[in-house]
Formats: sequence, structure tokens, C-alpha cells
Amino acid sequence: MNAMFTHVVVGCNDPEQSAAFYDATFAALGLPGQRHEASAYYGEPGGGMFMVNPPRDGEPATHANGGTIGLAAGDQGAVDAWHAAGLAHGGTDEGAPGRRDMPYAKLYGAYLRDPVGNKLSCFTTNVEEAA
Amino acid sequence: MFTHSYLGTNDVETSRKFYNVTMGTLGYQPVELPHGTVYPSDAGVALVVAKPLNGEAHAPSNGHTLGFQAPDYATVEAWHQAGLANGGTCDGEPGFRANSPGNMYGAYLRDPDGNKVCVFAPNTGPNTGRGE
Repeated sequence: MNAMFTHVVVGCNDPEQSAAFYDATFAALGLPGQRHEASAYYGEPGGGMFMVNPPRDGEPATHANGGTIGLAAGDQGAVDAWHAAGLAHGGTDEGAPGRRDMPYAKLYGAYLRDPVGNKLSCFTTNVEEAA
Repeated sequence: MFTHSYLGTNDVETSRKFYNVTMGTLGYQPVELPHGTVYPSDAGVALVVAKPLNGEAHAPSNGHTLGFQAPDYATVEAWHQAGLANGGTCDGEPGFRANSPGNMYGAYLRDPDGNKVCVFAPNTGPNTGRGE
């Protein structure tokens, strides 16, 4: 046991719309969409799971202000593909793919909001240095 | 899958108190930032609890839940009790959750800012209260 997070859930108001967004974006990261009851989910138990379903309380799903979920990508191409897939499936741009180095690491990442407005990022540490 | 998760707060000190004790029960130590707190894991994943970067007030999401892994039932219970004693509210008592993969043992809290968080431990048999 060394994973910090077991899972993350985000709400949706239109399950088909949100599942289309996440099917496309997670496909870019190599994770096929799966279904269980009203949930679409990605990944496997024990390795971290991402789930999207209508809120359990029956109220509309809302996005946070201040909340971001960070996803890991294997390389820059996956970040680019993730961002493009999201824009093509109901997402909105929150930061185009590019270098976002921090003092502790070289990073390449991008940001999207899903159809509900949930803020997501996708980063890789596998950056390509110019020749 | 995850690099990090960022939860918003409107009161850094209050949320820091809550997360220092609850994340402490899971073995994570705080690193203080000017606008919040980071709880890194050895695997390079981190929880960030901080003020929104856009300067607006934090608002929790309806529908969002962040789940943490615990090693055993006793840790789930310690996490829940620590949260209740430090500004959290109960959103689900410790117990087995039939709708979780493998009928895991979990518990839910709202943090002082209304963010929904939970902890789950693998099912290792009946809870005898002996800490397994």
C-alpha cells in the first residue's frame, strides 16, 4: 500500500456528456472507460480510480472554486492528446499544453474544465528538450 | 494516475489544523506554504489544501469526493475521530461499504470548508476491534 489516493469522484448533470468527455480524455492516457451502474470509471481499485456520476444527494453537480485534480501522463504527446480530446468533447480550455517548470522539476502540462466545470490538469515530468 | 489533488480553503489555519491531524493518522507530514499546506507522499503524489489561486472565495463542489488509502480499520477510525475533533463533520460513520470494490472499510467527513473526503482500508475480514 503506497498510493495516497484510492479514488476521486466528480459529479455530473448529464452522464452521457460527461462520460463522453472522460472516455475521450482518459483514452489519451491509455485508460479505457468502464461502467458500473450510474458511474463511468477509469483505472482499477488499488491503482487509483476516477469516477464520474450524478451527486448522491440528488442535487445538481457543481464545480468547486479552488479544486483541481491532477492527472499524470507518460509524455508530452499524451498531454497534448488529452487536451485536444477534451476540447473536442465538451471541455473548455483552462491552460494550453506547454512547459510549466517548477523549482523542483521540469514539467509539461495543460488544463481543462470538464462539462460541469470541474478543473483538471494533466502533467508529465518526461519533458522533451530541444535539440 | 494522479499527480496531486488541490482542495480549496477559505481559512488556512483552520484547514491546516484539520488536515495536519487527519493526514497525520495516515502517516503524512505537512509542508507549509504561504497560502496553504502540502502533504506529499513518498510516491511523489501530493494533497494541496490552499486558497484558490484566482483570489476568489473557495466554494466546494457538489459531487466531488476525494478518497485516501488507509492500511487498516483502526486507521480509518482514528482518521474519522481526529477529523471530528478538529473542525470536521461526519458524512458517514466508519464501516464496511457494500458498494465499494471488495466491500472495503471506509468513513466519510466534510472538512471545515465543506470538501468531502473519505478513507478506505482493504477488507481483511470482520472488524473485531483489535486493530487489524
